[in-house]
Amino acid sequence: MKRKSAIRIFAGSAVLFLAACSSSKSSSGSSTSQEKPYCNQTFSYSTFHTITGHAQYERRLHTVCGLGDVDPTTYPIRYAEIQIFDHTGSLVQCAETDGSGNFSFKVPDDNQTYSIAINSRSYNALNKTSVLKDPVSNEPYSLTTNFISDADKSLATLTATANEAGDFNIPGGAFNILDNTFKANDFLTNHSGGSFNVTAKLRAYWKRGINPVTYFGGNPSQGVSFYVPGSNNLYILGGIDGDIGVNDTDHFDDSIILHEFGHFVEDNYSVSSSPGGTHYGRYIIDPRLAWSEGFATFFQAAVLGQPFYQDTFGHDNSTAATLVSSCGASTGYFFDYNIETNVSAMDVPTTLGEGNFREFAITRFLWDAIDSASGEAGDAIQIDFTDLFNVYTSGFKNGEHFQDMGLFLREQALVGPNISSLYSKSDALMRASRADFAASDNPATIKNPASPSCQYTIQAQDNASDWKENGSFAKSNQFASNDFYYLQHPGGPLSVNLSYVVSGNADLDLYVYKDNYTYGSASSLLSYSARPSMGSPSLDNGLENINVFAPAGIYMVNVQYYTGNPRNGSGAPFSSTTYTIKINGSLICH
Amino acid sequence: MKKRSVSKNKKICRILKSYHAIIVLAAFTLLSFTNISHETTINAESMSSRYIASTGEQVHSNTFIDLQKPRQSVFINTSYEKLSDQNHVRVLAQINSQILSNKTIRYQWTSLENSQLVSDPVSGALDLSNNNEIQVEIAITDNQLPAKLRLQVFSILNGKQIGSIKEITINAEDIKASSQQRVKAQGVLSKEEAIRQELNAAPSWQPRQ
Repeated sequence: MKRKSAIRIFAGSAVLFLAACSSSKSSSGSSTSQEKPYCNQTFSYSTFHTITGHAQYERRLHTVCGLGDVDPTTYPIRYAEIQIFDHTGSLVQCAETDGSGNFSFKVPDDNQTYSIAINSRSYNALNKTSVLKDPVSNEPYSLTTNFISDADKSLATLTATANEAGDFNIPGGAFNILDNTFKANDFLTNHSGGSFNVTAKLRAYWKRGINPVTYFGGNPSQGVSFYVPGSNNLYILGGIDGDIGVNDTDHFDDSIILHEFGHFVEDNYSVSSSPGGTHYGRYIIDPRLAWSEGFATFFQAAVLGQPFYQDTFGHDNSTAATLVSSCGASTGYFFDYNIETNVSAMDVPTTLGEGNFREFAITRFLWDAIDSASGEAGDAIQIDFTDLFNVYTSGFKNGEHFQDMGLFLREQALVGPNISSLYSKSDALMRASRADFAASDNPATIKNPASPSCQYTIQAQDNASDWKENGSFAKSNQFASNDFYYLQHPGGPLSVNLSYVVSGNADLDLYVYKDNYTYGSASSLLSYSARPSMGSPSLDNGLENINVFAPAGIYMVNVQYYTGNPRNGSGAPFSSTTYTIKINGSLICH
Repeated sequence: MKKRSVSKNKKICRILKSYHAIIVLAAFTLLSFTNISHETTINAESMSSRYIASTGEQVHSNTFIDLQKPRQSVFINTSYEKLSDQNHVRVLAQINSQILSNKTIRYQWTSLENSQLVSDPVSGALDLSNNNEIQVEIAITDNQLPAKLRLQVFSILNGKQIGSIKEITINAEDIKASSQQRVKAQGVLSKEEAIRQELNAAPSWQPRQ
């Protein structure tokens, strides 16, 4: 023990000592620069010339094959930062492009050469976003040109290309990301009943050929775009190991950019208790994760005004007229999912309440709430995004924990409009309550354990035919094989007592998680009781007890059906059982 | 005096900087011996070698929860094994897709070394009775190792090309390691031990599903 302590001190000292020499360097020795301040000064000159111009960006087409050729239509660079420098490199003027990509600024009338840089940044009332190359340089992308201030003049159009032949770094990708963040902010401004203001600043990191997961030591071959809660940093996939021709990229996938922006909105204007992580849209998952992801995918559809979720990989030279039979093998869609029709169904629940645990079911439900009331059988509802956003940013957020769909719908039902007719839609099956997740811990007055209202039935079920229960947390069905109880503990001794009927292979275990837990992670646990039984009645008395001293706080009590015991035959159902649960001596009843 | 002090500091820093990599490496090596949890800090060794190699840059960050885009709708799991009495490696790919249920898919293996097709493009139907799965395999002879392969899988859904790709690198050493692991994994853990191991597994960068 003594030896270990000494080693820790030495190791820590070495790092700290070096940090004192250069606080801006990472351990590899490369410099990390701070992002430069936004250019928002206006310089006045007694004699000047007015310079005008236009800035635009290119993107690639979404075709039947995947990501196709460069779109012949160009798009304006909207509300972006402009810097003007003199020949010595001194800043002489700041400006911004307007909503059409046009700009105008004044420079001294001195016959000198000036340079202009249009940067992938906005910091104004309409958008506060910086699209940066990487978290080390923190540099934006820039379109630049020079001019001589010898007359009022209009500059040649500046274009951020989407084609590597035009610019290897394809700055069109950066400006497409920037424009999507403007679209999202604009949408929120116009669909929030005046409650939304662009206040939080987003940093979006993107670089051609770079998988941003590599900044954090993730698997470099598994391309992913993601948002880091609490950081206001969003990472968009620029390719894999330098490749953008075949591998996954997201800079022209607006669905992905806006999905991640949705997480930024959640982080800054609502709240998330999602544990994060991988999600496929085909399994029952942690309902906090399902809510966070389902809402983000809904958000992108709402901003784009179309019920699609599209994710491409690679690119080719296909066009709108290309026949699908002519598609090559370099590009395709990972997803081309129609949220409205749910063709080739994804995340389809079978039991009422299961939809709360499925991300795409949540996406579909929310889309059905705002889309046309006449478009689909069973969907006679049409409300505005504003109605959802107001719940999202108030009742759902304030003073609550373990945010999921059940909580959201419960809060939405309190303020209306009434959308309850959508709950039972066959591809939704939602419950506007916390009965399936974070059920209240309020001790009931009934004290008789034999009362049906104090007895709970549980029977494990496989999540999916290719995701079967095997006794692991990873494959435990959080809807069917688990029950969750929200515990507000005042601090002090805490006892949780589970008693269940030993029957067949039924084997229940007890876990108490901390707030913001990750299911199945030791670091998230306050305590647990998972006595060995392996289906042997001699070892199993149907009791699991936790007695600890716990600080005041919010906890989640989890009754888990352990499924590692052998079934009675291949694929046979797990045994059903009933249980009662006491917290500090009080029965928890319906 | 002040000047001398600053200069002396600079000298110390310069010396330290020249040994920076060695000291940091030593520090992290020692840290790993002390079993300090990786939950709070991602160490230098876990940074992506590819990113560092291509740019010379890296960033440090605390481990965090991440909110990601949904993964692709066509899944490819690959594995490989060497049969003891043969001079080739069997590469097996399991393709699964709910969204392409009962659809015919086409797939092809390409060498990443020279972009040449390892096998001709092939078609096959997802097997409804086997949860919309299909298994495909190719053989790589021993003298083709190390092999870098890419499997591309496509089908047509609603008039668009839906698919996925998977890349795999096979080294002779990996084959040895994987057969050892396979033997190791054959032991049966008690419930208590299985739960303990899973709960205490170091959280990966992407938290468990």
